[in-house]
Order: sequence, then structure tokens, then C-alpha cells
Amino acid sequence: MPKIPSSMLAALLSATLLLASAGCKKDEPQFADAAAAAEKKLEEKKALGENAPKEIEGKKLNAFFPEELEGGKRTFTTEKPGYVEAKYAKDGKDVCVLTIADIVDNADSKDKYAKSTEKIGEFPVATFGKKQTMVLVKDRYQAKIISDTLTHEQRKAILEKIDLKKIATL
Amino acid sequence: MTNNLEELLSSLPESNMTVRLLNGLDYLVPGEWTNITSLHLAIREATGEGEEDVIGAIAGRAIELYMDPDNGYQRAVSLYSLVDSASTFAGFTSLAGKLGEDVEWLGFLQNVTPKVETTQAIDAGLKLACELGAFCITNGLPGDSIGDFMGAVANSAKEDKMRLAAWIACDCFLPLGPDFMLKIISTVESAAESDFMQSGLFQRVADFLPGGGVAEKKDLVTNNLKAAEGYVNGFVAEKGMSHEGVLAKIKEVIDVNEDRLDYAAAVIDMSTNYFLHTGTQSVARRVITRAYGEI
Repeated sequence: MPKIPSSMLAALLSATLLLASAGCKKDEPQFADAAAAAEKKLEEKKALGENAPKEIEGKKLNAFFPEELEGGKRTFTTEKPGYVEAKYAKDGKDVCVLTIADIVDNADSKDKYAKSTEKIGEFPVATFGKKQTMVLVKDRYQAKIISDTLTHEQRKAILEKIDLKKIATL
Repeated sequence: MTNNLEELLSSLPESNMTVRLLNGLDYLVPGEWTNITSLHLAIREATGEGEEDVIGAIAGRAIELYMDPDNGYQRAVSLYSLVDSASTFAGFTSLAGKLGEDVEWLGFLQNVTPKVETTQAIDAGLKLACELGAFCITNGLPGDSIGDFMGAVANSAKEDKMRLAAWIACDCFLPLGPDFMLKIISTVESAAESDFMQSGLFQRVADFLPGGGVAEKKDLVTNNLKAAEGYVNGFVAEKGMSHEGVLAKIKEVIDVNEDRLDYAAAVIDMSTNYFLHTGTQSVARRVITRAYGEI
């Protein structure tokens, strides 16, 4: 018979038992309605096929991200169709995150501008929660600053530095 | 696998061998990882938001983004899943090879299983390449942009850092010793295409890796390893990783004989799925971060 170390067998057995007992039941889902809505939206998208709205290429949004903001240097963190995100950090500390999103298939995001009283140029400004300030360009492109440390006024001032008029030409 | 992000996170075990292993290795990346298994908590942790209407909006968008297969997030989780199911096989062949060395009775196994160190090295290299693949699928950097990837790895945090630490400890350091990067790179460089073809992991993940034929994918794995070498060696030095230290933690999880580290590595390989576990948490964080940026 092969000499398999007993510790090996014990480890294998306990590993098998532990794997088998994994996956205990948790609480009921909290976001079941959101999942149902997402399923419906996906069905609608599939039904539209080629006619479904197309988001802009991420690369076309990259140009609107300044190399520096508030002394923080840019690191691109995400580039997906219709969404680009970059983090700005100074001396190892995060200053802010800038995102630009094409919300052509995300109409819910526009709701918050209905009550907007502020503007940058012609474009409405909104906030959501305590850390975000955003602006909607051409009813389609949303530029947003997220920061733990900056105030709404400071975040808005940063958005004023973005070439929103050029975004409107996309 | 479910396409519902909330269900996906809830399906992660709160306590099992993988979680115990990761908790044991937490000393390498203190404060980076917690075992988050609910969407609500994941959103709070990733965004720092506490208001329920904000959390609800983020959850709604994150669920939507994950559910649409065109966004690639489900594909990334599949890739992490394949890494682990394949490693179960690699662990088996490693173990079979080891038993073959020990026991004349099983000597024939030597002829049908790859050499242990070759398997370990190729699979370790492939796992890092899969990490690159998953990163590109979720964050969208071009697949050949290894420089960007390493910049992001250096910036990585939380689950990503935990997974990388576990990869270094369990797939590299433990089975191959302190100079593992040298061994892995030279093995991968000198490996024949047939060695790659024999890897169960390669067979499963090849379609996910950029590049046409086996030779191109082999180059990708090699270049990726070379790009990561400095960072990984720096990590080992910075953390003061030692066999004794790693082994002491491993022994808290698995009862292993001290002079048989290769067995320990094989058992961990077979009995844990830390790539899928932390990979799911990483993808969830990336989806949540994007949803937060879009709402």
C-alpha cells in the first residue's frame, strides 16, 4: 500500500467536509425589486436588438480628463463603453474621482436634475448624497466629481474646469 | 452561475477553508480584506455612503450593470471560477506526481503526470495572466497593456491585494521557495508548447487570454511575469515573507508535515477557491464603483 501521510488524509477529509458544508443560507434579498427591473430592462434591450441605444466609446471621453486636478495626478481606473473613470491623488492621498458617463441607457440618472437650481453655463448641476456633484451635458453625458474631503462648491468649481461645451459636441 | 449580483455575493461562504486560509494570510496585507458577502455591505464599504436612498440607487444600477452580459462582469467571474476549478486538477496531478516520487507502487504516475515544478510554475504564471485577463474584462484596459496593468496592480487594494498575497504565498512561495519568480520565469520561458497544452488550467482559460496561438499566449504569460517580477519580489521583501511565517499560518488552516511543503501547496490548491472567492468580491467592488460613478 502507498504510504500516504496520515496528516494528508486528515487534511483532505477536513477540506472535503468544509467545502461540503460551505454556503450557508443568508437573509432574504433586499434588492429583489431592482433585480426584477433590471431583468425587464435587459429583455427590452434584447428585443430592440441592433436598434438598442449605443453608448459612446470610452476612448472618446478620455480627452476630457485633465492630467491634474487640485494638485492631484491622474490615474485612469476604468474605461468601458460609455463610462470612463480616473482617480486623482496627491502625496498618496486621494483628492477626488472624476467620472464621465454616457447615460443614454440609464434614464433614471436624469431624474435628479428635475429639481436642479444650479447651472454651469447652460448645463444643470445636481448632488446626490454628501460626496457627489454632477453636471448633465446635452441631456446625455454626465460628468461627476466624487470626493470625501471637498465641499459641493469645490467639486462644482472643478467641474467648471472641464470642457463641457466640447463634450456637448460629441 | 447567477446573473444577479446580490445573489452572487450572498452565495459566498461566511466561513469555510478558503475564508480560513485568507484570514490566516491577512497578516501579509493587514486591513485590506474583509469577507463581505452582502451587496448592501459591499456598497457601504466600497463607497462610504450610508444614506439608504443613495445605497438603493447604487444597488439598482450595479445589479443592472452586472446582469447585462455585454458589460463583461459575468465573464470575469467565470474566468476566476475556471482558475480555481482547473487548479483542483493541477493540485491533483501535483499530488499524484509527489506520491509517485515517494512510492514505488505508484511509480507509473511519474510517467503520466507533468513534472511537479513545471506544473506549479506554468500554473502560477497562468494564474497571474488570468488576473490580467479579468482586470481587462472588468476595467477595460487593452489586453496587451501590461504596463497599465502593473500600474493598476501597484495601486490595487482590498480583495485584489489579498488575492495577490495568497497567490504569492500558496502558488509561488510555498511550493517553489523564496526565489520562485526566477524559477517560474525560467520554467515558463523554457517550457514547450506541449507543456502548456498539458496544463488543465491552460486548457480551460486559453480562450480568455489575449493572443492567437499557444506561442502568443505563452509570450503573454512570460511578459506578464517579467513585468510583475519587480513588484512581486518587492512585496516578498517588504513583508519579510519567510517559509516559517507562511507555514505557521498555513498550519493553522491545514495540518501539514513541516518538511513536505509541496504537499501543503497541493492540498491548498485542491481544497480552496480563493481566486473565485476574492475575485467575485473584486468584480462586485468594480461594478459598485462604476454604478456609483454613473447614478
